[in-house]
Amino acid sequence: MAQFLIRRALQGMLVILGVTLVVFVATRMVGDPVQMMLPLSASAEQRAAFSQQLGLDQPLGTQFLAFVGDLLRFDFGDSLWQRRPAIEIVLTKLPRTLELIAAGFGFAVILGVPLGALAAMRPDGLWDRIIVSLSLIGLSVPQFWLGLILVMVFAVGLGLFPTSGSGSLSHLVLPALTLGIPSMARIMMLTRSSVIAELNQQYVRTARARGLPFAHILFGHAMRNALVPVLTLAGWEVISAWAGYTVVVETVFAWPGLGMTAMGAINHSDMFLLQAIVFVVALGIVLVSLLLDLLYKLIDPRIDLA
Amino acid sequence: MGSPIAMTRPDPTPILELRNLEVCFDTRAGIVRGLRGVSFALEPGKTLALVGESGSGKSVTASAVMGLIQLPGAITGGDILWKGESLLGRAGARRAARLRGKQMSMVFQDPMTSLDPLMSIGAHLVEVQRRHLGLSRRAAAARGAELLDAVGITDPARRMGQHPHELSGGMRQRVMIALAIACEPELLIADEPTTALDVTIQAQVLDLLADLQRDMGLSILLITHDLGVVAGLCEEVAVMYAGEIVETGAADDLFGRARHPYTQGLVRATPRLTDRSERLVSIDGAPPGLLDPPSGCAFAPRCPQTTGACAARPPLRAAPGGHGAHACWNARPAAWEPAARPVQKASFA
Ligand SMILES: Nc1ncnc2c1ncn2[C@@H]1O[C@H](COP(=O)(O)OP(=O)(O)OP(=O)(O)O)[C@@H](O)[C@H]1O
Ligand code: SF4
Ligand SMILES: [Mg+2]
Repeated sequence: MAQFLIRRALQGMLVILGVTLVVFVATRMVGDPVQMMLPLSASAEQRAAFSQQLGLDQPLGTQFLAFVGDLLRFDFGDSLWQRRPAIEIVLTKLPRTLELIAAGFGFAVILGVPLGALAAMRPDGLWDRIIVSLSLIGLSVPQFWLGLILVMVFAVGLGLFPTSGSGSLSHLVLPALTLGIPSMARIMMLTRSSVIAELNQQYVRTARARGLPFAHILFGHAMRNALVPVLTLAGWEVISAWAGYTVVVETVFAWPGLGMTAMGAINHSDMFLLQAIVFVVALGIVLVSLLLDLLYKLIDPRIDLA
Repeated sequence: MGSPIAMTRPDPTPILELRNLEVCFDTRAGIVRGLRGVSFALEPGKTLALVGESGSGKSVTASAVMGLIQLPGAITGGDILWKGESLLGRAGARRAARLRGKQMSMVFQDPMTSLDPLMSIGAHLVEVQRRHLGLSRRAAAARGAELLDAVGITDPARRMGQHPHELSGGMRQRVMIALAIACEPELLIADEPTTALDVTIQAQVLDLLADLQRDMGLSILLITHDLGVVAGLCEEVAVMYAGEIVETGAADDLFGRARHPYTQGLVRATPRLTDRSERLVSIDGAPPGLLDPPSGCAFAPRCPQTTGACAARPPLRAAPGGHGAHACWNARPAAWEPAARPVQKASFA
């Protein structure tokens, strides 16, 4: 177990290092920050001085080593755009995004898993048909469009929630739904098929022959087995929300989280801020996948962590 | 509804009696008539073997008794009696629910998939005892370890904490048996309990069943392909063919005094371990499909003794003057020398 954790930590560091290397190179190709930051009238000397101040006159290798050194101290430099430490900006925006993901994903799991199980109890029954139809709709709608529809109906039409912005629970509802509905549909479908498969397993028959009530077999045995694949999907949902979908949702709802900030950083060629964001995102992905592995082990004794 | 067979002596009420049981499966291809009138009786403390070719309806019979027939299947006729009381209908289903897992329990063919892979052996044992005996977790765990010991599992305390994938097939089948006897049932149904196991392990598991029967006074319904097992372990035999019982009788009579041509064919097809040179004789042909079963004797296409009478379906009738019954218009003693009983008997005695 300890061995497993150490190995995974090393792997994680490699992943993060790789990602930062890619970002390091990519951000230096997005555009020249010196051009962006200084007025057109700036002289060649001024440009050179600014470049030197940022360390951009150094060879790339030296820049990268300095970058990694700073990285270990969580020092990503000052944002060119907002002129304060990049990590500080990231840390103020991070809770907003976490809040959005927690709400959206929580909604997806809390509704998706029980509804999927309900559908599985009577395949082709009334509930199953309703639930499957709804999730097909949820699956086929593009996320930005879903967001716009929700805004039109619930914010503009019914006036139940604000159209955008943040700061209160009612601000959170529509963005969280936009993020969570497609996830919920996927989790629901997988839970359904997985529970149906488990209920047809031989161990369910033997449990019935032992006189255990159906509810006990469903919740005590079949659901637990069914959750192993659902866990994989759930992990993937969190990671893809964390690494991408929030950008769409935050943009649609002007939600001041990491996704919006990343868009801003790109628009301003703010490579230091972008590096900080990408680093935090990569770290998050590594942590989530480690957590997933531990959860697998907790659920399934056949999985050997070594 | 009167019992169509007189094979049971009038003395004790059978612990389990099937009367003309019919089960149908409403499939896409049409209605499959899985059971077409199955009747037999099992007396308390006895072992009844249910034998027959693959697809003859042995497992469906067991499932019906356990109340495990699921859609698209349904019991469409006949009756199942537990100590004389029906297990069908609304009141019967309630009665069956009380019995299931407690007074009657079942061991299945495949021990590899019969346990919840995520649950420890101990958790399985605790679960069923808490449910039916109302034991505390601790008491159930203690008794669970004793049960494992009773079915011949070494180091039970350690096994309690292990998961199914850590046990061999034979071990798992012992666990299944421990689970089945945990609540001291009166009836144990074992559906080919040894088919999935190695030959040496098979004998051990059968020995275990015989011991349990002796010690606990169990009644056993043993489903098997193996006539050697029948000879070793069982008092009574019921032979199934194409969803019906074609012959019942004492196991001792089976090898020498089978009357039905199908049973006679089965006996001839059983290799005798004493004589390796003897050729295995199998019955030519295949049983009829149950989607559209024949109206006459289902065995007719394969039967060497067919006559015109066989176009009508033969009822299961008591053999004249004997213990047993058969469903054949032209039943007669086998045309060959009464065979010696297979030697496997010795290892289970
Ligand atoms: N779920 C089902 N749907 C349709 N037909 C079924 C179903 N279950 C069983 N049957 C039919 O019932 C018949 C009897 O099957 P059963 O499993 O009882 O045979 P068996 O005697 O146990 O055979 P084996 O020795 O191979 O276990 C089969 O011919 C099969 O076609
Ligand atoms: S009834 Fe006729 S066909 Fe059927 S087993 Fe007897 S002799 Fe053969
Ligand atoms: Mg079977």
